[in-house]
Amino acid sequence: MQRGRPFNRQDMNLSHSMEDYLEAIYNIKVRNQVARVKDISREMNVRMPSVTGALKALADKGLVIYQPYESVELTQAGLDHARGIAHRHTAVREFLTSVLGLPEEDVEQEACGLEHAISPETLDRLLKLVDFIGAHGDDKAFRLSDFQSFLKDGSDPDGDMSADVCYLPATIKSTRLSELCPGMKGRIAFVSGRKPIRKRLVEMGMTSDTHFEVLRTAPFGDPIEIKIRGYNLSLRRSEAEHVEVEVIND
Amino acid sequence: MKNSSKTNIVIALAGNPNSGKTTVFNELTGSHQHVGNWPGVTVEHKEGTLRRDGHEFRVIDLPGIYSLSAYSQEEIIARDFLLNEPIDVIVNIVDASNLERNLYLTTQLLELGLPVVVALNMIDVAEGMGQRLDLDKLAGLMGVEIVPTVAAKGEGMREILDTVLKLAETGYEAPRSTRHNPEVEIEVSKLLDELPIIVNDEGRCAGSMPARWLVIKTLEGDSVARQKLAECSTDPQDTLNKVDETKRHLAEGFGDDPETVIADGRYGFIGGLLREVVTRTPSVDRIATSDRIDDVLLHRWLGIPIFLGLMWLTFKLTFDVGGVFTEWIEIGISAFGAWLEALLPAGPLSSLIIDGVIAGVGGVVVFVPNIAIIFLIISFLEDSGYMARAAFLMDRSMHVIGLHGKSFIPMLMGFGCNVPAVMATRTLETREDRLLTILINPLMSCAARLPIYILFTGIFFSAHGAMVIFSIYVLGVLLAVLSGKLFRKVLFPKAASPFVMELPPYRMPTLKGTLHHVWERTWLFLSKAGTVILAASIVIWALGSLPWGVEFSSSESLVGYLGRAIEPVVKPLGLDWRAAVALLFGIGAKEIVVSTLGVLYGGSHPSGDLNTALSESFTSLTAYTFMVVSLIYVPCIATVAAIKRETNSWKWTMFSVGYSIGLAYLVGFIVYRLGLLIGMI
Ligand SMILES: Nc1nc2c(ncn2[C@@H]2O[C@H](COP(=O)(O)OP(=O)(O)O)[C@@H](O)[C@H]2O)c(=O)[nH]1
Repeated sequence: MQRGRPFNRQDMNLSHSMEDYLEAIYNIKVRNQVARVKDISREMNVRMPSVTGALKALADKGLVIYQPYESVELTQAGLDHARGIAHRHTAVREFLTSVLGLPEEDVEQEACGLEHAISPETLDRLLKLVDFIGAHGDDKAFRLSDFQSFLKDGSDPDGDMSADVCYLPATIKSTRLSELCPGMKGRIAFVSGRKPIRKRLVEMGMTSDTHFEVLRTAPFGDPIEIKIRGYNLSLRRSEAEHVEVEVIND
Repeated sequence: MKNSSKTNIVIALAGNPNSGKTTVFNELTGSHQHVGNWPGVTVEHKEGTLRRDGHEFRVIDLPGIYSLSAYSQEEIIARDFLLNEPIDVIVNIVDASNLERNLYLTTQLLELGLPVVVALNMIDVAEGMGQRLDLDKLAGLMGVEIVPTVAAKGEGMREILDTVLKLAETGYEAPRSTRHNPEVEIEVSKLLDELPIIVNDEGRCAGSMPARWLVIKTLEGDSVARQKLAECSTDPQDTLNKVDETKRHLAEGFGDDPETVIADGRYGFIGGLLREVVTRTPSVDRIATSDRIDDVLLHRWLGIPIFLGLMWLTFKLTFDVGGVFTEWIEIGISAFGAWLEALLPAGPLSSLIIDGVIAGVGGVVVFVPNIAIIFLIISFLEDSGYMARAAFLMDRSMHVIGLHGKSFIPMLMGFGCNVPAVMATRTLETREDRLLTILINPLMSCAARLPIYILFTGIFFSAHGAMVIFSIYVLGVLLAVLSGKLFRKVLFPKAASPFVMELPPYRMPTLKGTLHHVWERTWLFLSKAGTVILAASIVIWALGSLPWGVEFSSSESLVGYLGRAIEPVVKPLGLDWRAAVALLFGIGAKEIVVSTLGVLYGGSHPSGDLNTALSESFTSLTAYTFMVVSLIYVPCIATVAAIKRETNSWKWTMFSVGYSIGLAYLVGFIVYRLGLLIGMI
């Protein structure tokens, strides 16, 4: 189970604004596969020179690869970090809207602030709470003690959150293919990582914007099988980690 | 290469794995095939010939591949062949029910500048899925000839040949090349104009490779193409600089590396084609049926038990059903021996034929049913699509010993014969994985070793025969696992290669295809019996009979001397000199172990009956020890030769031989001593 892992803030001292840049790069790449300085500047509503400056700082920390005039690449560490921030952001927003019932339009700003302020532990629990509520059907009735025991050992006698079922929080909109559960559908955003694997994955049809469905995992949880371009493809989790996808709910 | 009338036409069959390529090949060439020394599923390139209308066709079956990018051994083999050999026409087998991915290879074949005939196979499946194709339009858009086929029913084979003939006879227009991204196209044309390369009017570089292909492949980061491009240039440095400059430029423009952009472009091109030519009517989806089957066969909890059950069933069928036929053959052979004995005057000739040839070869031929059945099942599993599932199910477990799920298939084939199994390791993508799989493969007990187990369990463990034989197989697997772990740690401390594999939809294998497969393997086995084993039987007989006048294979005979020389070595394992000689000769081929036992024990026993002789000379413990040693020590000359060929290294070959002998001795010793300790005799 990868429960909670995506939300952990890594031991890296990044300023809020640096985290915002990372998150923006990630979101742009998921959407368009390629992130350029002008895309980032538009997304964040800042001027290009500021973007360039931020990219240099991130490059110094080994989080992005950036050369003038070229598009921005995330390093593996940068990608993991950026994904984590993005997950926190969507989760906080979800909490504010669907649990606290705040209007969509108002929460964006607040979510941006909160995602940096909350500790990873608190955030993790918040997310679980959001999902726990979601998993308890329409009436959303459950006891607080149920939730607390779920936090303790992952047990959930009433809902469908018991520990051995694959679980991806509903708030997560884009992540690695390896995190998806059987039955989920998605769109390939981009393939990162080492050259030969990347090439093979792309040649087998995992090009950007291709839709797919996760069919199953093998008995010991690895490899996984997906349906893509009308055929069935199996790959290991360690390879699926190189594939960034957007979850599509139907 | 625009030739007018040709009498010799060379056809290369290329296509994705599971596209039906082998079926097409068999349909085209029938029995006129030349299978390399040893076939490993579709790995070795097979050749066949056929004549029609005064033309002689040479058909080469290339390994199944997804792309021409030199990623796996198979791709390299296929690609080198396509680029370097004088091919007249490429016949590209395309699975019509899986067009999108199959055409990816086609887009690359089109760039080779050779005439291409697309055999749109599995049209029946595609139609069953409610897919309608506008073939004329597709042919027009791609600039190739398209022939719809149903290889499993032999439909369309004649048309393939007609089309090939037409192309080869009338000359051809090189197929329209795949259209890439407009920006890529512009850059490619620019490079073709600007590069200082020598190109003939057909667009080919020196060495006959199409310049356009070389440029595109170089942009895709292909190191071989890059080198070839440099070679055909008057100024290699300038050429490479220019190409690199373009690569950078493209990377800048697209924000992604050109290889991904080009791959994307190919799929884009295909997508465009399919939108034009495919119409779908919703109907029962064959693939959905396949997925339903997988819901059971790949089930989280049931998958592995079902798999193991199938393996158990395979063994049951092989031994129990095979046993019935074996008995009949045995009866036939002994009747034949008796008939000959009555016919021939007593003397050296009669002795040679009866004690030597019939005892030796006959002892091996009786196992034909077992071998036929095991290959029948293996090829059924292979053709039905289950083998890929086995790899999927077993990958995690194989990963524990640092192996790939795909290694499981060669390992499984090892139960049939280690030779094709060693060759089938070509499906593995890295040299480390291949070496590792090759080194532990001989521990998979091949069918040729089975006669030894059957012989001994029949005599000593008749009550629990299947259990005892199963324990030997399990021991082999266990040792393979441990050795694999050891080798991975000590010799190849690198992670295993990626596991990116298609799970093809289930298909009912055709009887014809399966039988062809079985026949191929069984014939190889039989021809071994006819040559190596016949020769070995005669040698053994001679060693047993010389010097003239001694009692056959007594301790005064040559074989007796030889045996007694090595007896001290096997003594600690509780074996006598005749067992040692049998093992020694068994290096020639494992089948010879039984035939040697037949000659040495059976031939010298007053009753002439091998079973009686063995039951007097062995105990159940030494019998078991003998089985264990037979399992582990040097597989056979043919396997050693295959290991040499596949590893291309004497060092590894010798290592394999030395390791197996050492391990056999060690384990044999432990088994025997432990047996004595717990009071078995
Ligand atoms: N329905 C159908 N099955 C086919 C056709 N051609 C081949 N097959 C089956 O597809 C399976 C795989 O074929 P094979 O020739 O081994 O594929 P290869 O891996 O490309 O060599 C076998 O079970 C064949 O019987 C076809 O045209 N229609």
